[in-house]
Amino acid sequence: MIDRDPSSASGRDVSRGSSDESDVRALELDQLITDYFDAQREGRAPAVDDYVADHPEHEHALRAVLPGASLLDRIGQRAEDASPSVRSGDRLGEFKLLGVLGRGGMGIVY
Amino acid sequence: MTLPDEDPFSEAAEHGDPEAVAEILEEFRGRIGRMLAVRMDPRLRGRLDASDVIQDTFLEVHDRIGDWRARGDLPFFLWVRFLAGQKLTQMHRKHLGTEQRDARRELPDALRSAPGATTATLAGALVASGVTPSEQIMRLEDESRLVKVLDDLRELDREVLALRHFEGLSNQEVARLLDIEPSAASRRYVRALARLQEKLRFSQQRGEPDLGDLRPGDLGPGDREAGA
Repeated sequence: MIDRDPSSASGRDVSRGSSDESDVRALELDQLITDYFDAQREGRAPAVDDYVADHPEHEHALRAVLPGASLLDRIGQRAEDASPSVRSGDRLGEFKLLGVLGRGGMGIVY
Repeated sequence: MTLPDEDPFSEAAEHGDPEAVAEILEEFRGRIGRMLAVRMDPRLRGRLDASDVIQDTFLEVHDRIGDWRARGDLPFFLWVRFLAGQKLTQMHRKHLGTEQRDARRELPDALRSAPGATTATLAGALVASGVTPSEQIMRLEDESRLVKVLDDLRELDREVLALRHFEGLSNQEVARLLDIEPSAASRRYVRALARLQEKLRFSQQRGEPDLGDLRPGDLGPGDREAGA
């Protein structure tokens, strides 16, 4: 990923129109969702309840997206396993191994 | 428009020799492979090797990198992804004679260069992932629910979700493809996720925890449905 730093996402000009606060909130929320799935892929995702408790200001929106997104993301990871390209390159092999370890709930055992 | 300075790949590709460019392309291989995996028509599996598409794309990158440097306004990864998407579209035409589906005409140009991530291509990718039969049974239910729900989403919602979750693009990259501000891209993404979960609720089974939905104001005061 090229941008994982919340400050870089919100640092860009978002001054258009009258909804600065809304822009910042949308970017924050996006970053929280992104961080959650980064953690999930590394096998250290907190329970949705715990994550929400840490970010009460976004509680409702997080509950509205995380469970469904979680299913989507797991299936996306499966599609990655289907990609023949991940066979080549030992470095990518390492990435793949890490990815698989990150999916304890999926039942894949390597 | 200048390249965002948080993109080290673009900077390295701008000044690098062919060897340096080749190294960057190796870094991209996994993500390009994912893009091909979720967009390749299942009828092409076994006839078309994604590795060959990637190889052809990388050769084209070396041939045409001067074009990319001359335009100077597109992150290097998105350009490489664009070329790979074009190659896949060409392969679809060559082997299947397919035209782009009508629905894709509603999408921004930058999203139409690659074939869509449809439920058919996604299902093909899942089958090709080669899980064991017992795992298959455990997952089948979730997957078939999700695939049905994805089918019901609007094309742009499905595309945004595919870009973020199947291809692993960042919000900045999606914003660039859609030619909108990152905050607007974030809103689209969150809304698409909320619509997905809302539809999942309808296919929900008893005993599962209740799924929440998005309320007015969750995306901040003064928020309005942008574009979509």
